[in-house]
Amino acid sequence: MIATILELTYNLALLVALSVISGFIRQHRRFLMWKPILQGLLFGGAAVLGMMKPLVLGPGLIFDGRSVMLSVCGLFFGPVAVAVAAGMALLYRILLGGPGVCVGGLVIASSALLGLGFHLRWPRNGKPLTVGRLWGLGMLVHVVMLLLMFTLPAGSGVAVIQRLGLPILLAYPLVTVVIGKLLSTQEAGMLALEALKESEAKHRQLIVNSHDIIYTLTPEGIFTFVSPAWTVLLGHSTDQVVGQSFELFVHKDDVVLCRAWLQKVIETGQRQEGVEYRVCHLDGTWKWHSSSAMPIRNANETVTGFEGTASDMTERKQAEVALQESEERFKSLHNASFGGISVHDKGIILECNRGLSEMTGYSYEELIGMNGLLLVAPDSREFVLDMINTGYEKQYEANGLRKNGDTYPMQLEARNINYRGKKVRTVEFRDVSERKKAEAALHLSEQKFRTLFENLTEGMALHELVMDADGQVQDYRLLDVNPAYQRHTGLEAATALGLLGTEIYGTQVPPYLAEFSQVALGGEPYAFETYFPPLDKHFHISVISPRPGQFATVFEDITERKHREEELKQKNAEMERFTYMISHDLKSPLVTVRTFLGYLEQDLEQGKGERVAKDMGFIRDATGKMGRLLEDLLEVSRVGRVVNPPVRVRLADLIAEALAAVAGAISTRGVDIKVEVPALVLCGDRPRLEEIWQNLVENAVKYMGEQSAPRIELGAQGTGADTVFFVRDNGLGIDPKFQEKVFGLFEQLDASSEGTGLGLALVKRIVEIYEGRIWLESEGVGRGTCFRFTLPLALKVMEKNDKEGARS
Amino acid sequence: MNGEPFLILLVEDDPAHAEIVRRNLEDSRVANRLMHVSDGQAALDFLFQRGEYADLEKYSRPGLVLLDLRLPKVDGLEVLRIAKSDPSLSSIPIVILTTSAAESDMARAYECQANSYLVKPVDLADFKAMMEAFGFYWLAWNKYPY
Repeated sequence: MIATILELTYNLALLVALSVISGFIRQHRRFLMWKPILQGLLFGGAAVLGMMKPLVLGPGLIFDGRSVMLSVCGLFFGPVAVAVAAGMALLYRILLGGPGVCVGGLVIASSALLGLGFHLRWPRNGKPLTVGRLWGLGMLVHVVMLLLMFTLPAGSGVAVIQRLGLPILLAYPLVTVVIGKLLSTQEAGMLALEALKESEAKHRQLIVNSHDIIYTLTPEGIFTFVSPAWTVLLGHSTDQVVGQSFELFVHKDDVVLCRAWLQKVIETGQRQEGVEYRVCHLDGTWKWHSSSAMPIRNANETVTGFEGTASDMTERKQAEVALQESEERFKSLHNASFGGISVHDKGIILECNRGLSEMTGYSYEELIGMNGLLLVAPDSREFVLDMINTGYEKQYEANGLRKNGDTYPMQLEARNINYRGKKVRTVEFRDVSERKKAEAALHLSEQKFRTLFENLTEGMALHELVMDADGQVQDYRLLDVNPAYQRHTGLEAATALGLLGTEIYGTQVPPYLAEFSQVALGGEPYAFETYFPPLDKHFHISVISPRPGQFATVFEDITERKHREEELKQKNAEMERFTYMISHDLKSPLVTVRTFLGYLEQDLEQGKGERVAKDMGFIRDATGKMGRLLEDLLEVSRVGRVVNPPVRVRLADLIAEALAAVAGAISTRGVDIKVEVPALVLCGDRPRLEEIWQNLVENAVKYMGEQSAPRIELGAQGTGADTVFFVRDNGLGIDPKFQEKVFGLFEQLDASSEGTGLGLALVKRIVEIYEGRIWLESEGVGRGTCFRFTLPLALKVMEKNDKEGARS
Repeated sequence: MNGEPFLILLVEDDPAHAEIVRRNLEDSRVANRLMHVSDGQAALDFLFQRGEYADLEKYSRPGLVLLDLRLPKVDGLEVLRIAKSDPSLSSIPIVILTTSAAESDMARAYECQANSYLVKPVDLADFKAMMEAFGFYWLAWNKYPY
């Protein structure tokens, strides 16, 4: 019995050694294909070894551990392995021979089949086999083995069972359990290792392929690991990052935040989500990242670092910022709008801005949910409702109603939009009462200015500059004129409007372009007086620019004034000359008188009696000249100063009187007078008119010269105001070069004449008072003179009076 | 220089004034002959030895001109201007003798290169003194190339 146990123990030790080798085979992945065969060879080998040192009951009758080997081989390694092992064992048993060959072969086959049966019946799926099942298998295999003993020849089976039955049934199932358990444990450890390896590979794959950065940090914040995603997201190689502090990469404004967050991870000991910070990309740009981390602890539960993930959220952040900005913008627009804005659904206000609240006097809270039509004055509601119903989308005006009951003009403009899934209408309200007022004021002011424009006595014209392609001022265009424009320029406004300056005035360069463009472009007003040749008029022009590129001219025809000024200038010059001449002409006789008085004294002292008469003659002449001068001066000053009331006088009478006044001189010289005048009636200052003829006749007599048959003709030609009067003589005549001089004050052509040089000047002045002119015709010295003159005013007044007389 | 004193041309429209000048020169025993014309046209004709005065035997060029400003036909200033702008006459001294003491007349006369400007005094004694001084200066002391 002891020997049997020892024998079995030997077999058991063999099996344990076997299982270790078997485990070694299993661990080797390389022999995946060959593994069942190797296991089969191993188990087959073990069975053979067992048979070499069996428990020998008799010649050719041996007991060994082959049944355990084969059943366990079948159970653990499947059909191929058990076939190989069983084959080897069978082969060796046959070689041993003996009476037990047949039984031995059957035992081999049954053990292998039963092990395989268990293998197939209960696939283990990596789970360790239970002790019960292994013992069950051991029992089954060895009960079958003992039963097979009955097949031994000569009834030796019973003896075998008696001798070995109990030890076999006690030991062999137990060995089966031990080996099975050994293999099973080994198998489980291997499976666990494999699972671990697989999991690690998966994990690694995950880390490498993750889009997010996976990192580990020391408690101080030094990177100990970063996944390749860092390179993808931030450009640096992982070598550049590992060993560096995170502060090197995180934006300095976010470092404190990150530190605090890590602190929180330590404090809570929990995973912390979603810290957001900026991190530097290799190219220098900043990216927004979001990170989660949890602490790493050692066995002592102290934190040895952090592990975490980080993902790029730049785009999301940008979108967030953009959205926020857009929202703020919208909000500020919404509230900054001077008008009110509301969103309403069939009249019920869903949303509105502050402007609407300010405009209507209702608070925001009151407005939300209110019927928008209540903001419209009753008289406009129907109209506004129509607009809403028809979905009108253009501007229109209506009357608004404030909370306090005031109505006001407002401008509305609405759009139909989708708002939170509804078809609603946004409306902009605009209080236009100020504008309406301004419009009314503007209208009034415009009317005022229009009236001013229309009634201005000065001409006014609005022009705009016309530029060429290079922006150079070329011309100007007439835009508007007032009625006085036509009066001053004589140009038809209707035909001139819209025309260019060159076209209106027919000039190469438009008049005053330089001055006008300076005002239109510079804005400085400018005023000037000018003679305007195209219209032969003098103008005073004020130029202002109502807006850049345009100019308005306010102008006045000052031709009349200019003429008056010219006249005044002439008169002044004449006056100057007059006083100068008077001083000279009065002084001259004075010199004569004083000097000859001195000579008279000498004459008397020296007894030069013969010279007295001569010297006194000089004095007499000089004083006479002075007297005449004074008289003439008086006469000249009378002209224009003393104006006798106009009377009607027949020309013939006038001439008769004039002739009577100079009758003495005429008869002395023996002049033949011929008067041939039409039956004209003149109207004017009678003594002045008479003086004309008197002076001219006197003058003619004076310059008669050596004429042996002196003759003076008086007459008139033409009709009405154009009548030309004449006084013609056949006397000395006047050299053409002196013909203009004769009318000048104090001008004398003959030094020996007794005249003062005022006579013809006087005549000229009288003629001019009657708006006439005087000129002379003489073919030269010795050929007589003809003075001709006109007196339109004296005749014009007459004509008018005649007509009036005819009517009355 | 032929020994005979040169001719003085007096241009004076007032016969009384001409008489005064003539008498004064006589009283001062001036040896020069005096030629009197009474208007500007005659003065120019005389100076240019033309028209009435074309006879070279009868009328010689004056060595000095006494010129009034207020003259008939051609004004004294005009006579002055013409004479001074003619090369053959410009060297003849022209003394203005006028009643006008107006500054404008003086200025214009000098502008037209008058050689002297005398204002007729309103008193015989003054007139006499002035004409004596004139005689001494222009006819005794002053030197001429002719």
